[in-house]
Amino acid sequence: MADLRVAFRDAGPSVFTPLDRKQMGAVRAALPAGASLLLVATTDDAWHARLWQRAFYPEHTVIVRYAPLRADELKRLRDQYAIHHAVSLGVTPADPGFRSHEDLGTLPGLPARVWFGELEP
Amino acid sequence: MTVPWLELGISVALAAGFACVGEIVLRRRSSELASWNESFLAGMGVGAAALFPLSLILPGRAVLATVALLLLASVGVVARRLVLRPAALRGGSRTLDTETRLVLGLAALVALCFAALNFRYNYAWDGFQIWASKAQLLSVRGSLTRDWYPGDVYELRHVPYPPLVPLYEALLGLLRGGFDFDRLKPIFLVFFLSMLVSMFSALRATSSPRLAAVGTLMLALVPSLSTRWAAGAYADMPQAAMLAGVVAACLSPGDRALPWLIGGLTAVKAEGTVLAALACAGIFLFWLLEGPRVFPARVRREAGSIAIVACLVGLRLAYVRWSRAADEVYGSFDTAHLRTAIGRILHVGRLCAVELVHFPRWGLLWPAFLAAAIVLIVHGTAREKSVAIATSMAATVLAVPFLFTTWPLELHVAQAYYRLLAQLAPAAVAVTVLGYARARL
Repeated sequence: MADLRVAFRDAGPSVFTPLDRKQMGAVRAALPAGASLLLVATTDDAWHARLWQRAFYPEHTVIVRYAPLRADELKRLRDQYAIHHAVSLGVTPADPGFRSHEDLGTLPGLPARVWFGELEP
Repeated sequence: MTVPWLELGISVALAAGFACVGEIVLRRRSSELASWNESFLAGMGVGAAALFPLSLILPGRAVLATVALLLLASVGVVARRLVLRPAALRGGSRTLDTETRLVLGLAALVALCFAALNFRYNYAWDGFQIWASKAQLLSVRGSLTRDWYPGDVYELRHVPYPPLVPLYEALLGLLRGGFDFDRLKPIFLVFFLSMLVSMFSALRATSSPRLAAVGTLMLALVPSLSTRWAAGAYADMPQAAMLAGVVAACLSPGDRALPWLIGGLTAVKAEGTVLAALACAGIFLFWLLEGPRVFPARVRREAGSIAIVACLVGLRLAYVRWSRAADEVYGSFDTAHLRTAIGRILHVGRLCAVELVHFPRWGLLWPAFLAAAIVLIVHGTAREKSVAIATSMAATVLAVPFLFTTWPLELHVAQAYYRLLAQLAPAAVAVTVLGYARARL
């Protein structure tokens, strides 16, 4: 019965909720074709981090890392994958060096927020 | 609830294609549901095992090559049927009594509930993060590769996971015109139905239709095979479906599908290799019990079957080696880890025993299995003894990896052991029903 409640009351028809699609659509619209994206998340948001990665594959490479992110690793990833944009997930999302960012709202049903923006050069 | 009819139709068509591959490797002409189902499982195991060499020979085109193989096999099977006369139906009367029909009707109702849940339920963790993701990678890259998503490190451990479920999902994506995470669930209904057909077939080979129907209903009602993780697209229920096929072949004397199905176990989940080894141990035991003096001659006579299993297991091991993935879940096999493992034996045993009597998950299945296994070991035929001993060994051996885990022990056992037991459930149900039948005699 618990499964039926989850399936028919809580679950939606897609693994991507309408809010996921809206937030991903906003990021997709702002990203240049083929651009790589850094996604920084807390381990509590691991499901959504991987959800974003799969949603953008293969059009955009999404490099997922969990906060805290070391400066040398950030630099290495930016150089290796030519990253100029990032998404950050968290109750107070980590700042991987945003030049500016947009708050896309919370993750569906969770307190964690979604920030997207261009990184400092 | 929306039923994805197109994807359901493609899943059935792919199952028919796999069955045609099975017909060719088994060199037979199926004429009834049970043997078609067996051909499906054998063909799917072969198709998944062949994906690794195809990925080496045709990088980027192995999935397409698999489609070509399915098409060729289908054309071959249809042509042979058009040219040759239809095979005679095996077996005797198909009449079932009212009680048997009623029990089978209940099993069909459970299957319908599973279908409703499966089409509506979201992915659970591994179903999305591992199996469907591997299918997406396979779909985009066209063959098996040594890497996971770009930049991933820890998740590289998923690379050597066997490809049967992802291959089926990727083929579905290819034939529907594009990979879509939300359209993969129909394949799990195919696996569920296959599992029930195998269970009925297994028990029908050795007991009455009524008991076979009861066993089928029992298996359908195992929660871990018909609810959350099964509907969440995990690969444990497909592994159970393959094992149900192995049990059916084990209980049908002279079934030539057996080595292909044992090999097929290794293509579904990593622990399938352990299950395959235990199935082989059970068969060797059966040969010994049946005729100790003619055992060497029996082994020689079955050299072809042994070679089939060795070939499929060899492909699996070669794939693991080729993938070069480091395993961070289990410690290395050195003195320090061995000492830790020995110190954990009692604790792991207790944790696993608690799981075996977890009533909401299993009801009384495992205590009933234990009683039935004792009955069969004491009073059963050589075949029944072997199945009972091999299944009991499997329930024990599948707990051994926990001795070496690097995860918190309680957490790992709680999260994994019941899923391992779910894979073993078809054998446990078969032993329980056979033990009951033997005790009544």
